[in-house]
Amino acid sequence: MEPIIRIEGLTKRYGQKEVLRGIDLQIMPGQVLGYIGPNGAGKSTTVKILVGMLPEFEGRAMVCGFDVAEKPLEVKRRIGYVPESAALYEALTPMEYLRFIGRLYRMETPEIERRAREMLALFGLADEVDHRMSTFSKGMKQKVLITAGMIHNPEVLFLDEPLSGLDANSVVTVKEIIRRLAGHGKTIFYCSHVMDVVERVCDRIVIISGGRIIADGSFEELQARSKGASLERIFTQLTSSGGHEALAEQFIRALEGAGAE
Amino acid sequence: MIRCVLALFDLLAPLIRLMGADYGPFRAILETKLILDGRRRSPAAPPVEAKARPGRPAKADRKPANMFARSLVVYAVMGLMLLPFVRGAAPLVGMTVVNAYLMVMIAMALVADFSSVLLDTSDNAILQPRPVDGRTVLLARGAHVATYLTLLTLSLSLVVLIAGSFTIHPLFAPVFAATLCCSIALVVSATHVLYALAMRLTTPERLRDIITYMQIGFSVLVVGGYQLLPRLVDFGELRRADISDRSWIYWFPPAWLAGPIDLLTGHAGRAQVTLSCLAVIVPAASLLFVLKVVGPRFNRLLLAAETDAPGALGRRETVQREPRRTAGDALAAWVTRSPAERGAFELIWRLCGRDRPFKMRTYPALFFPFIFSLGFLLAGRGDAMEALRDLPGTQKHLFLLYMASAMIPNVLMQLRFSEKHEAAWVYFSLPIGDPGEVLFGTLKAVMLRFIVPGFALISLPVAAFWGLRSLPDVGVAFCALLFISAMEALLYARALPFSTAFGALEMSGRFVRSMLLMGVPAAIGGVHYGLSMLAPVGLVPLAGLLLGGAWLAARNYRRTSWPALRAAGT
Repeated sequence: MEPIIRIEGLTKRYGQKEVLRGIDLQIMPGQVLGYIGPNGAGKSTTVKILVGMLPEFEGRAMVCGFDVAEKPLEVKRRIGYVPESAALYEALTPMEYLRFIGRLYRMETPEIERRAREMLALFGLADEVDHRMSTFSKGMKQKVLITAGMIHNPEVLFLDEPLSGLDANSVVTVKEIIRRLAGHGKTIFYCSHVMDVVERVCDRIVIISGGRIIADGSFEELQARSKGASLERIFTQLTSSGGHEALAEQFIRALEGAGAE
Repeated sequence: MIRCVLALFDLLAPLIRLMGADYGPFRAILETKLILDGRRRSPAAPPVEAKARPGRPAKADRKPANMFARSLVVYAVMGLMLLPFVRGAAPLVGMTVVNAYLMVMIAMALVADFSSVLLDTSDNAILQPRPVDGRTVLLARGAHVATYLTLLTLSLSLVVLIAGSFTIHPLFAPVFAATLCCSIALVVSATHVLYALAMRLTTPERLRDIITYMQIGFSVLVVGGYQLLPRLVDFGELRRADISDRSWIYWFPPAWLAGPIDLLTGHAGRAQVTLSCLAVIVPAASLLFVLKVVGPRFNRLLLAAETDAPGALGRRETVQREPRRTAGDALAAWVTRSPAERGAFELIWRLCGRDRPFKMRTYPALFFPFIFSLGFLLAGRGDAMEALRDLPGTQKHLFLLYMASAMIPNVLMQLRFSEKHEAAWVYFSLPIGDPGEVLFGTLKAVMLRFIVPGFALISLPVAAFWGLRSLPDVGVAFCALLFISAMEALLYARALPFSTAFGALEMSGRFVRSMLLMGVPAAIGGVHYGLSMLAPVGLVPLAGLLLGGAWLAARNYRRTSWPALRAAGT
């Protein structure tokens, strides 16, 4: 089987700063890939390149058989993206927004409206479909964003911290949706800081740090390699120099005004 | 309205496809942008309060109020102002004035409304991951701007278009419409060049500040023009005026565009022909220049500002360059008594200077007293200089001094509103005994930042014109200003600063309130006038009374408790 995402030597610079320093990665259809790393490791940058938002980079990135740099439109048509920051037009209602998004994917209006109504209802937003989003809570907006990312039934789904602001019930629902999508042969690229969700949802985990991949494998494989019980343990072992206890102690001392010399 | 526009574009669909756009996505983007236009509060138009029933979120009804459509109606009505220039002036002069007005209005609306669109990066965050090519997005944006400008210009010039057809020439409408297109081309290219320059020279953040000040200036200009122009212009002279032999008209674009109209009425002089040529050639050339030279660079700059790392083009606002302790902080230490008061003073002093929406809402109103005073002084006189010479003999300075208190209500009432009203949670979570301390610190900051300087600005010319004898009056009027501020704060501004959402308040009893707000200063001013005519000694107890009242009101305001705040809240 051909990998649905293939990244070779992906490098990205902002001015002098090198954010990605040669990422190589192949993802098979039906995989749920957890992409984790400390703040500023280059997670969101990788995703933005793969969804075609950052056209300038070095190396090769193929998604759904198309080169992201050469055929961004073909790629964009086949993927869905739920961004990290809640970028949507808050003056619109969810229905108006989804109608707009659906049309950009060339969907027929009745089909958009049917899907939007059903999906939003499943998220408990049935009564909010025609209210402007400016009054929505963070979680409600996030539900609209998730719906907007999936409404065109994409082959590959890029999720950047998709559960932020969601209540526990919705979190369970979304996690189950992700598992089932994978069962239907869809590929999920999942970025997050929430380790226990990644541990449970993803069947493959990639840890990046400083723009490089430092670990790649299933949770069990990572566990065997670094003797950590949980993903959180493994993650801190691999990405930090340790000393969390000392840091916490200094923090407390700063509060007490005793100085932290 | 949106449906009509879209239907029009549907007719043009083949043409748009020919230009390289995908019509489906093109239409979707255009429609969304038009909807958003209707829901944005247009800063250029007088604010229309969105009525929301308390306890219910703003709902998109079947027919939601289209703010853009409303402002179009306002613009059309404002066009009536131009009638005298169409009917009562020589065509070249009249049309020069009309064109100048239209060009300024279009430019300001363009700057105001499109700053939010042009510098808005969330737009790209939404569109970039979707399968839409750049050409479609570009054309949709172009179509949006074109629609916006056409509707705006039509509503601004509707009155002129109709009146001119009757009073100037039967063929006025088509010729004027053609010159309007030239105005738009000129304004659009000028704005574009200015934007491109500003983008190069400053950060987007600073640019937004500049735009805010331009908008404030614009509001003052409109009100000022409306108040003063009829008093300054002698229409009998305008009818006979001939400017065709002046040389400045060749440097003044509105005059170029008046050329063709004058030509139409049969004044086929050399000046008119030259102006007409300029009116066609310069806009066309500048538009070409913008499209070919400035545009591509500008778009690259905008793109760079968005796609590169946040902070690449100075997105972050650095405050470090300022000295640590500002004038506000120094004043705060001087005039406040408790830490809570001082904290509030320093915070509000800064926010008033940095919060752009607040500046937009309040700064123009700070200038209105000056404009009204000027209008009052010049009222009913033929010659402005003569009116000025007679002033020192009158008691009109009292009017000016009391006019200053017209600044107070607007500032005090706007202070509670904010787009970011959620941030006010800090007041409720902090261990503040009486919120009155926060309120009092806020009031002091506003007084020292706006009202006292404003009063000083009015009293300086008063002292200059009326001389020493006006000083006691200035003193008493200042006491009255303190009294009125404290009273109005106590009665109407018992709310935490920047804590209320727009439309959250049922503005009932507004009429009564504004009558009261106008009436109290007028009444005190009347007593002052009476005393100064009959028994000037009486001014001393009056001042004492006012100061005592101010002290009592301020003390009460300072002691506002949480229950009192809640009771006054809605």
